[in-house]
Amino acid sequence: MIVSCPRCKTKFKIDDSRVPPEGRKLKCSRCQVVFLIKRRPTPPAPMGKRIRILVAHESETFCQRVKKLLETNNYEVTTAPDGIEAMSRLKEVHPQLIIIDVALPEVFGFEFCDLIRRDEQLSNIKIILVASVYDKTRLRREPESLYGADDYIEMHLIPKELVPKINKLLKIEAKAPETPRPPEKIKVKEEEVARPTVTESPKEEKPEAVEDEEHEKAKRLARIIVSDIMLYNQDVIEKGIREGNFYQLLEKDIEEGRGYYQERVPPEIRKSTDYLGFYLEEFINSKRKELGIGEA
Amino acid sequence: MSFINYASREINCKIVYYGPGLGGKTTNLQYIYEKTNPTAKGKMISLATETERTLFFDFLPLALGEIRGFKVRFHLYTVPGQVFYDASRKLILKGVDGIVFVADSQIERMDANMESLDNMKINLQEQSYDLAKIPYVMQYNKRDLPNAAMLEELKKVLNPNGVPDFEAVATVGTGVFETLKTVSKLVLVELRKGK
Repeated sequence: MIVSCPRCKTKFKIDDSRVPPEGRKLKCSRCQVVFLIKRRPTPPAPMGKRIRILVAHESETFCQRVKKLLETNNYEVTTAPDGIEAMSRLKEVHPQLIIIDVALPEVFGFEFCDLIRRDEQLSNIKIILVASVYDKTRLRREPESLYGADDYIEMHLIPKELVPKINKLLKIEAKAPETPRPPEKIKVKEEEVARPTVTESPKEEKPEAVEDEEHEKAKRLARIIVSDIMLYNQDVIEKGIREGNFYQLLEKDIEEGRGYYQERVPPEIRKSTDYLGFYLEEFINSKRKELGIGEA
Repeated sequence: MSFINYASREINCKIVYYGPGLGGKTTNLQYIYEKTNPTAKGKMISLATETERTLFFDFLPLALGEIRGFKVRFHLYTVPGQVFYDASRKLILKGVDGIVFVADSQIERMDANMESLDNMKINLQEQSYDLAKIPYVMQYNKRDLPNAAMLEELKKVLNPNGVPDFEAVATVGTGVFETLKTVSKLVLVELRKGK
């Protein structure tokens, strides 16, 4: 935005996102007068085109507080108390941005990021992770290393920084007209995905959620088994991948892991997808890439 | 449950270090072992699994004071961390008097922590133990790593009931003895209650 000095009328170009809701003091570089600048209210979005935001947090109070804050800034807000609920909301409302708690029950925030980033149809959704108060004596992760989240906010900074962060993220999106996300294309896909949930009765949504939960549990267990196998066998993994005998070298552990997976995961889930096999293959492929070996 | 040896006038208590693979359970025990007076400790024993490759548990008796003329000896055990060695973990939990859950603070291991915690609760229930009634403390290990999750998140996810908890860097001993002292005290309190 452009602001003028009330005394000498010199004009200044200010980045909106750096102006907090309560305003900011500016000192005119020419006449030295100090004056208060305020962010212009966000122009109301055209009807039916409001930006949709999903807020996923265990605390109802938190969700309502953020909802109130965002609705006064013209965003359309949906809330979810846990990861499973958030997933079904995601499918229903197709938000442009998600604000998600790092320690969300059922599916952690960072797992959620991972799921979204793996899904081509959802990969354009912006994600802001919410964490509790940060201990300044400790190191913390940079947002870009948080499983593909776009930004990160600590709880106590929400009143001041959340809206500017959202504006910034969505502006970046708007400034890139050539992004591989033509709205028409998404809309078609969204309708395709949304139709069944709209026509289904609410009673039928429950089994889907339960099934989702079972799948999530199976995926999580498979990932842990794979990571445990890898963590305990780091010395032979590279050899196995280079020589193409990975499964032979790690036979015992993989067998143990598969036994435990079969014991813990219901047969109907195992029949539909072999998550353990999938994550093993995914690990091998990523390791091959890391070692500069072509895919088999 | 604690075992009383009347001949040697000793009460033997079992403390199990539980937690996800490579979270620092063995490092905790090794540190305690190194820093303990040689006259007060027994031999540290490592048992291997049937594959003879995996460290399965460590055993460390520590003499620690007396209760009504009986010496109290603590036996410290670790369980195999790999999620799939569940049978061994069940076996080691038998007769447990106190538990230390060693969580790996790295954010990437959050789901492994959760899985291990759930697994511990299931295994205790199977043996008719109630976690709420067992002396139990939580240790957040590897606090020195740059990818450590924030303490608030760890507490929220892993310790919703607010049992005594400690931050630790087991490799250098930070938080190791604080954790042990607390769980030992809780075990002693339980022992006194039982008398």
